[in-house]
Amino acid sequence: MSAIRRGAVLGRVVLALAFVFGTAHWLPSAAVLAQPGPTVRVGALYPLTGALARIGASARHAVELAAEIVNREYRDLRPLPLASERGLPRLGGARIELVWADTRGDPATGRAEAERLIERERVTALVGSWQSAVTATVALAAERHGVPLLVPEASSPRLTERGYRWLFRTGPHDGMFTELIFSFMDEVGKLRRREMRKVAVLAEDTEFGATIAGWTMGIAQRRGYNVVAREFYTSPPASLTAELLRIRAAGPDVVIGANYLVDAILITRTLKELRWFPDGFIGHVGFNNVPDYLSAVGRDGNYFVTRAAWAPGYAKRNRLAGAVNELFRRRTGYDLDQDTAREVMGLLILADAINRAGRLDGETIRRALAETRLSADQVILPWRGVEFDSKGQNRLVGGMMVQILDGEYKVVWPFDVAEAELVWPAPPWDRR
Amino acid sequence: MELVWHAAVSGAVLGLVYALVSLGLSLIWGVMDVVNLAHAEYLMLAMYATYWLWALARVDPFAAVPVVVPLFFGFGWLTYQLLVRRIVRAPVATQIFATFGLLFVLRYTAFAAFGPNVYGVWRLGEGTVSLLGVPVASSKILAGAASLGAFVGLAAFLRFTKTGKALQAAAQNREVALSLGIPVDRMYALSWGIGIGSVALAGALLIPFYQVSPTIGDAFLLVAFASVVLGGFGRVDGALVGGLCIGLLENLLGTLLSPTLKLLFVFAAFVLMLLLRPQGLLGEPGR
Amino acid sequence: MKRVAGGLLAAGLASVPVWVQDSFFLNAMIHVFLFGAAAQAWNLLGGYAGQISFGHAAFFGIGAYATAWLLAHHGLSPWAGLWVGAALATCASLLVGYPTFRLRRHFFALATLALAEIVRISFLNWEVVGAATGLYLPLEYRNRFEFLMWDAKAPYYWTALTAFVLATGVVWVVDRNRAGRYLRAVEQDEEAAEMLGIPTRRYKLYAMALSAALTAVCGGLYALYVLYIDPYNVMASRISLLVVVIALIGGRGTVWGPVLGAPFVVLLNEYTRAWLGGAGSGADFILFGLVVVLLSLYQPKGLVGLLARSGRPAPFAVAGAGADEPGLLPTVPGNEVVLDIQGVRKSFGGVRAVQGVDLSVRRGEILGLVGPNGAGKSTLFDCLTGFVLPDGGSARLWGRSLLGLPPHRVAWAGLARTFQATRVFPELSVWDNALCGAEHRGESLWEATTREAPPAVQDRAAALLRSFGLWELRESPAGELSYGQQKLLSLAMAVLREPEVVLLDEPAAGVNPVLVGEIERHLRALNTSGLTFVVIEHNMEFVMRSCHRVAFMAEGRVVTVGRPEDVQRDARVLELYYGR
Repeated sequence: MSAIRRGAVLGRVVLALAFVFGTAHWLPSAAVLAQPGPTVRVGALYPLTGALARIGASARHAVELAAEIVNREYRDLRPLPLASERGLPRLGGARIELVWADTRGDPATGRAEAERLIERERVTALVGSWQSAVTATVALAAERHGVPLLVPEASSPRLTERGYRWLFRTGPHDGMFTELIFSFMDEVGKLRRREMRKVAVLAEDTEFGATIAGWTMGIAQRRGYNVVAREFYTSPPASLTAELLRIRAAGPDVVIGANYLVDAILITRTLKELRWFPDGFIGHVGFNNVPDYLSAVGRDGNYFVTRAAWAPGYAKRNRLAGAVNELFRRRTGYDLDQDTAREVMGLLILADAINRAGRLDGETIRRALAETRLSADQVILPWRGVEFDSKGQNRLVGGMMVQILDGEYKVVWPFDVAEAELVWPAPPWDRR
Repeated sequence: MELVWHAAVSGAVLGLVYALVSLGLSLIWGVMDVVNLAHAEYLMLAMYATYWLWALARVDPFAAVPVVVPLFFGFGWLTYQLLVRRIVRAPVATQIFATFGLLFVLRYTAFAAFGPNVYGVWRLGEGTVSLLGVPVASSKILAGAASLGAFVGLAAFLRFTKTGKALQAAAQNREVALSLGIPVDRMYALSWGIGIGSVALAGALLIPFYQVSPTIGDAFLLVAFASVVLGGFGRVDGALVGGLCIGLLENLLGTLLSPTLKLLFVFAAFVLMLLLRPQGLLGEPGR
Repeated sequence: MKRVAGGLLAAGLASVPVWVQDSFFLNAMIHVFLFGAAAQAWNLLGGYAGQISFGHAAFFGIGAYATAWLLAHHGLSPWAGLWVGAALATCASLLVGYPTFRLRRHFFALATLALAEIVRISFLNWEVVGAATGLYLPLEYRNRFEFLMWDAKAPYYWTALTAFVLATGVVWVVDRNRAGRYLRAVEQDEEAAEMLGIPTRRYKLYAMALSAALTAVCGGLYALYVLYIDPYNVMASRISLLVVVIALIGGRGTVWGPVLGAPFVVLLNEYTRAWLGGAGSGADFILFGLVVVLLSLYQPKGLVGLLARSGRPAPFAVAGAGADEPGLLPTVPGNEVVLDIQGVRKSFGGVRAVQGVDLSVRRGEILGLVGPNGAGKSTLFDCLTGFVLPDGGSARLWGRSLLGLPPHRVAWAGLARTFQATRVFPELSVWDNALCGAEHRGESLWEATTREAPPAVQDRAAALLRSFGLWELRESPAGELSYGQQKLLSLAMAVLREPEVVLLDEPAAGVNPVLVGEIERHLRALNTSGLTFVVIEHNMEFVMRSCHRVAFMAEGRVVTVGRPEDVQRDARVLELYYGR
């Protein structure tokens, strides 16, 4: 009943070229170490080399920690799914065995590796793979072979909008994050009695930037905000002065940025140069890149607000999150962050579904995933629980807002879990 | 109106930086008619050099100039001796491919050495200064001033020193220069030294306000070519005029019309200039 | 034998997916074929025609977008979409090529780099094609042959292989026939090719259009394979560079270059990181860079050149003089005027190089054109042949006006010319050089691409080479000939198509006396067979012996025309020429 590891791959005579270049590929993957008892093989696809190697490395720690939580007994982590039992009880205590594959951050490679995991490594399910573009192609392989794909962190709304049957996303997508930003602005505006209806968007001209700009336009209209400027640029730009001048001229109260790290640094510097700062600058990703962002801009990063799926501050408010963070810290020497927290939770949710399915058949697991019902106290993220809609998107997700204060990231919203008071409006440059 | 003025002033400062980046490209192009596709990679390497001096030894980027520029002068000289001298008289295609290969080697060596991460220098006491009523980062003003200084210095060198005159002679006619006893080979090597040294100067001055990664050359290569072609290739002052034009064009049209299309304006100007006036703004109509 | 081996190889390649199901490997091979085909397309333009493009990603992207957009928005089958993409890319390439082909070669390279960026930025901002969000291909059309999209890898493997074979086939056909020869001639010396009557711009545009269309097809197939496209994955400069690197490393301007280059580059790229692991060190790209640098220095023909080098025989030893010919006497020229030049003027800046030349060339004669340096003789030739636009005057060949025509039209009208410094195509074989001199008037592109020169032309070329003593050397690159032999060869090229008038610019300059005699003999022999010559020459003995009439030029004017001995004795000539 468990997926029995196939023997060593039989040598095949391939074209001379294929042989020369292909040899490295036939080596068994390193993660396959003999363990007693039945196992369930789960393929994990992350960028282990290339530009995003560091992200892949911490994802590896997170997913491995989650597998350990499933495989070993952690009574104090109850009611986290499968924490207090050894292995998967309904599969005779089978262990989760991870098979790692490197996407190199490249969509084509991601798909090729996913196919390899399914065809050659006979994995039962897939988890990954941080980037939306790569996840999109991995999803094609999953669809074709009928293997469930659990997506903890990739956040392009398109992934769940395309109607994949086998894709399930546990974390929020960019549209939900944008919605979250507006809820935050609603509450701040009410609380501080400050007129903040004028919004500007500064986004890179990629799918990521364009999607966020599109959602921002839609939500702003629905909620009665006015988008006064919307500027795109090609990354990396030699200068962002023209863009920010136009935005400044439009006089927004809040600027929403959809940028990655390099451009976030340039935005910070250009704002400082222009001696201008809106009431609030809310970034989606780049400003929350720990620790590179702050080491590049130093104290100039203060008062930027970014959306987050999770933040270390939450570990102080939530017992389970704190306990898992402690385990992670012991393993790696650093805290969980918004990606690793989602990755730990993602694999737990997948394991929970496999356990409930009770067999290793793809369709049964898919149905079990679709029927997932977890409550708010069973997760380590600020969610209302886990429940997938018809498109495979967890509809009970939540998030929070973090502000950089004195060179540290502090949770400032939702107000009931805030660890520091929001500074709003941000002080001008000459009074910092 | 204030917006236009602001865009113009910061565009001019940006243009001076572009001009400094393209100075070496223009010089090398003019002296030996070799187009160096790897030019912006030297910029990237100089930025790394400056960054590491700052990160490891806390050398301020401006203080690093006397170290970085001579280093890259030597680097340029060496590049000439090892590679370029073999292709000076080769067909255009060979020159293009040789420097194209060089681009790959330099870029991915940086990638192997420093990884894909982005590095920036965060200077304490970095301030904003008012220039003609427009706030501009003090490091940018310094970079602009240094750019102007470099152009004046180079012009003076070419006009008033014996070596400078010899360099010009070598540029105008190799055979005649040789017959006059000018060591053309040395002059070529010198122009590579100066060309790469000047782009290293640009790198050192850029790093306080611009971050470096292995692919950063992409942001500057075409702009540098556009500056050289716009101003008139083979003329040192052409790079200055071209750089300024590009900076102004990018910032003014970007601010007034659409920032997304600002590079499109630059490249369109570049292509139009190639087609309509290949000799550039300052150049004399050619043969 | 070769065919059998080729057939076996093709069958072997085609059967790979039957016995290898490894997706990773098949994926790598699909990339090899698609980018190999694109490199083959680039090769037509960048290798054969020598116009280096760093902007092929634009054509690749146009093909990808056309196919994907038509399918996603109109459900149009890729079988039609690919053609639309190819047509659009062709139009784009002609729009780009027409103006940019005037530029010097490195400007062309830079212009293509910039134009590709312009196309990419435009697509990034064009809402109709999804702007930055890109296009998803509709998945419901999968697994139907008419939509060329599948779940399995094998069908993609076969379509990609087909594209690769097709592209290689196109290049092979071009290479074997006249078009390839002409493109390479254009690459090596555009002016000389033009003077032989090859319409150079037309061939360059042809190469560019064909190249763009093939690249677009590759782009379309790539879109069908990856199922999601945006300006970053189909229009990035990365794609242009990959294609260039494949062609360069394999060997540009050869049929087999991209065939060798594609597996080398793509597989190395796919597998090095698996080998080296670590932090994605980019070692493969450093290697590519080094290989490109070294090849550009030592072996411009890439891997193909390295493999072929060992096999090529050493160049033939220099052959002796040609077969005996009966001593021919110059024919008596008729009195009909073939070429009538009146009042041709040309100034450069303030210098009046040609100031009103009147001259009539009679059918069947050898007319010598002598005069001191700077008299305007070569400039007069330049004016007649269309390299320089005269300020005024007229020149008629059998009554048809020549002035203002581009050089290849002048050649079509029946005027041929050699240059003062010889201009053969150094990397073409002697035989190919000779055949470049064939008649190009009325030669269609289709004909040039699909057929070799007609037997009659080949016979005449062979006869000429035999009589010039170059037959034994026909396989050698013309660049390996001695200077004198190159002069003979350029004479052969000029006269192959039996033009009405041949203009020779100093045929005897810089040649040893034995060869001078030989050239003189050939000149007379050709003249006897009915050709008319105008010869610029400083060697007065040569002129006195060969020419029926001599025109003396000085200070941009024809001072006197007459029988050689009369002109030689003319007081004005003595004064102007010899300063007596």
